[in-house]
Amino acid sequence: MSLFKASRQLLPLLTGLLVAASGHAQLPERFRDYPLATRGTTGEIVAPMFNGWIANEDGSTTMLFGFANQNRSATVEVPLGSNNKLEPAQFQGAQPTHFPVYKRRGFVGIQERGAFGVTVPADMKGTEVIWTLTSGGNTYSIPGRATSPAYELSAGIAASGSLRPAIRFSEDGPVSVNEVGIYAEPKTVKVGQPISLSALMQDRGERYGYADVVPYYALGSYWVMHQGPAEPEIETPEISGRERAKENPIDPNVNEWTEVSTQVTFPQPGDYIIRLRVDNFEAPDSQFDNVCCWSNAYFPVTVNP
Amino acid sequence: MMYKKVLNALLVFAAFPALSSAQEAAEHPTYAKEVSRIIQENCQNCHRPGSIGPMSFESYEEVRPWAPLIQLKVTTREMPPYHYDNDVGIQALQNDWRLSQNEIDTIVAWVNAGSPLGNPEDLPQPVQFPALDDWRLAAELGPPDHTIKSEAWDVPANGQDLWWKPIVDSGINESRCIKAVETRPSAAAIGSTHHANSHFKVVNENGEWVDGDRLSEFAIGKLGEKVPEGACRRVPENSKVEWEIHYYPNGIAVPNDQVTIGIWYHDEDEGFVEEESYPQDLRAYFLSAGEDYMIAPHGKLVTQGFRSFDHPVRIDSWQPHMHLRGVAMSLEVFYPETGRTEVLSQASNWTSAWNHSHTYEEGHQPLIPAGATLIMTGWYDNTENNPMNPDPDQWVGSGQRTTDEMSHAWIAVSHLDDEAYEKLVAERKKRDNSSVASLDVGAQ
Repeated sequence: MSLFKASRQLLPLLTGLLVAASGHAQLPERFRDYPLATRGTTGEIVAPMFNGWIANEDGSTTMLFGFANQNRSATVEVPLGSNNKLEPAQFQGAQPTHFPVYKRRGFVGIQERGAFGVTVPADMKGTEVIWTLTSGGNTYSIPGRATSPAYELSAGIAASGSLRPAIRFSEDGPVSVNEVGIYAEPKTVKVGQPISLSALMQDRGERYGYADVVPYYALGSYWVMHQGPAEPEIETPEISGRERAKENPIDPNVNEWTEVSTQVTFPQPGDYIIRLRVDNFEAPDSQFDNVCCWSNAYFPVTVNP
Repeated sequence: MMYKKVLNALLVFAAFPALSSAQEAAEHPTYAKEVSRIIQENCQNCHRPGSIGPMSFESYEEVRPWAPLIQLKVTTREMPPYHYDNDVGIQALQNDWRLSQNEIDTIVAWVNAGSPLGNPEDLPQPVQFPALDDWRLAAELGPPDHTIKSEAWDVPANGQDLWWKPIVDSGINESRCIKAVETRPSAAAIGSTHHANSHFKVVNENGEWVDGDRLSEFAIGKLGEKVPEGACRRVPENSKVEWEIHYYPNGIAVPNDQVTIGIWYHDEDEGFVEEESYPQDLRAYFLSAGEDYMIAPHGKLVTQGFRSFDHPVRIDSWQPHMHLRGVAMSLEVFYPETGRTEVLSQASNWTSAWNHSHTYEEGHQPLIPAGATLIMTGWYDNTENNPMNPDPDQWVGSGQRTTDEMSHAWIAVSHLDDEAYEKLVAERKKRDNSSVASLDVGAQ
């Protein structure tokens, strides 16, 4: 064996001596019962998550919730009821029953944030909103509470002037400018028959005076089943702002309402709610991770046989 | 024989308290003679009027009421806030804030003796500290060669986390090698500037501005980064810098806030030869893919990440990065050819309140052969026992907000070739053979 070859074989050992003469790791005993982060394909817990609270000007408090389906591939359905309830009872029904698996890039890979929100009136100030969800053989009750500043969110402008976009169903209808959202008039359709769902959307922001931003951005949209007995087929469920701008370039100085629509075909009869999320993630201060900026709208659909 | 050895050991042990008491009765440390110097050197930089410490320690009268708390904090090594294990891994670190055991023992003995002042004539001269908006590396390196400011922005007093991402001209018109880089929040916004990271933007072959290498990483409590002799972290000429500043409003509004980066360059007049240097970069190395973990309410979790290189490297610095539920991180190396795993660095009392880049001293940086695997492990505590935890009833996942978690380590890596690696190993072997005392790992 050449000297060079021998020295190469000894190098790892030698380097070990150089970097760590101590042969035993001094891991404090208190760390020995920590479980390692792992996830299975199925059977994992869907974590109900409290995303934060907003102190509104009228004294009410908005609580935002999301979830994380920890399965690698199994979508989870948990019907409303004792296994999926929101308390106080007046808020029951705002939460989803359908929990898809998300694999987003970035820090919030498996989380869905701001899937719904509820507003606690001023005269109920201090009330905790508890979301109880049973999945994977475990039950967790998560409190939405306006106590920790670390969980405080804002309805105001983000760092470069972005606000949550606006959604409405008609030109003179109510407008959603937050995750709590608005509900469309219920529609009825038969199993297997496509139904069109549409809304109007508009970017919002006070971006004048900020560098490296334009006044208005093309919006992204995402349609997803919020509640229902079986997953429907949704035509082009997601279009990013970048894709939309590429298809239909916008004048960043003109802020028009534009239509967003899809077609949904349901496989089973029952009561469904489809959620539309509209975002301005093309703005540099708007990011899903940071719980700003998007708004929700909900479409109830009754599907008959 | 063994019985005799044990008996001798017990006798020696039993003799210590009496000896110690006798010594204390005869003489004990005083504030004026010993403790004031320890406080000056290790505490006053933060514990003085206008600085970030909650109380001032500039005089005996200011220190005396806190003596029992100081004793507790230094004994548990919570203060000075440099969270790095003493009993494992590489101990030769630059800008190491840890007190020596002798210094801790001195403070303990002083408090146990009633925290006496002693002879005022023994007091040292007051230290003149730099202003809060001075560069902390300036005392060692002088003023920076180049500075880059973020665009001014109004930090609100209250509200949610905010991310300010201005792009500014770097002002760099000559590509050079960095010797040190420091990120300096304004004095007014030092408590709300949670992170301030930056990377270069450069023009690609198509004339488009694209992301370049990372320039800097800053988190609360961090001093700065020094690039070792013989390594080159390059700044690109005619570039831009994209900031990502995470503000977490802390009750103080700061209009027109600006964060500044100071850059010191390696100097050829001081013998730096770029052609002979190793390329170095600073990158985030992720544990559990960075985003793939959830911590249950009142639960605990471990994340792990692995990284190997197809060429030899030298690890120049290591900085754990987690958020409020993070409590510990370690960096190990596994050598597949020998099956050995060794701890390079470990911070088992880590807290998000202080983010240090642990920079290994020259000649003590771990040398990692090609194919060896770095093992990074992070520990999270979402129980009420974690004093940083804002709400143990919540599920916690990864994300950028303060309430979310992160799981990565910032590691500065010099990339070597076989020749450079063997040269460095030979130098250390020669050094270690010549002096057993130079073996630094596992002993302080």
